[in-house]
Amino acid sequence: MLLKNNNFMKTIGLLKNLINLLFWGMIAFSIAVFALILMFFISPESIPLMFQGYTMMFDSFYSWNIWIVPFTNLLGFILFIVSIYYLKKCIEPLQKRQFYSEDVIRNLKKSGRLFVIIALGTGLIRIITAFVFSTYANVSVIGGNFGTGHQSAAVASSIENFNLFLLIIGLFLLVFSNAFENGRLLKQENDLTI
Amino acid sequence: MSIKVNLDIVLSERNMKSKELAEIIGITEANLSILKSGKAKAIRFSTLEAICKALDCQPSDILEYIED
Repeated sequence: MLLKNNNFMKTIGLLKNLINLLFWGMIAFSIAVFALILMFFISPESIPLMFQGYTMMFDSFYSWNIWIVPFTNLLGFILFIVSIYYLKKCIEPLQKRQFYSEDVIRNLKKSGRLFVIIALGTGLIRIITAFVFSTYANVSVIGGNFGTGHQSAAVASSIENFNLFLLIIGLFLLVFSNAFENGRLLKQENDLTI
Repeated sequence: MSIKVNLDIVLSERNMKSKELAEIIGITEANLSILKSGKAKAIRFSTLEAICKALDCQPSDILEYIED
């Protein structure tokens, strides 16, 4: 049974508002963080007092490999903004009930692919990092060999629910995109049936 | 396409215009044009029946199979 028109418009309106809120919220957050980082490098004394504690983070980055995880997370965050932008672009045709338009299919596919890339990319880097760091800790800090048990625990704890959830959502978007593509072909066939 | 639509020929034999036929069978001229140009993916039995009735012909007069 089709969703009632009124309910559908309310649902899609709410979805549009939430996606806009998320997208512009992340843009505002990125600008604020970027400004803070700039301030840290240009004039550290002008950073507001409440954020000055965060400058300690940079003191601990003594080696290039310490940057891998923050850099991957930053890249993941940027890709996440881009994927939300593609979802945002899907909403307008959906509001006009153009479910099978090329725009919807293409943007769902792009968004889904990005979600999968983010989930796998950041997840893989976290697992590798957890494995490497647990080895370092075992050899250089703890100084003893506790077997592979603690490594397995470190790797297992690095797999976050968020990554798994993102992967599922990404795959769902790819499936939806494929379903809409099939729907578009069926609609085209129906339109060309005289 | 291996199915050829000979609607133009039958229409000219009956001295009937597309617009007239479209009005009789109850479809738009645009759809009739799609049918005539061979761009249509399928034709409903009800449409075929209406065309045959309006033009007093058989389905084989309108549709022809051509081997590729």
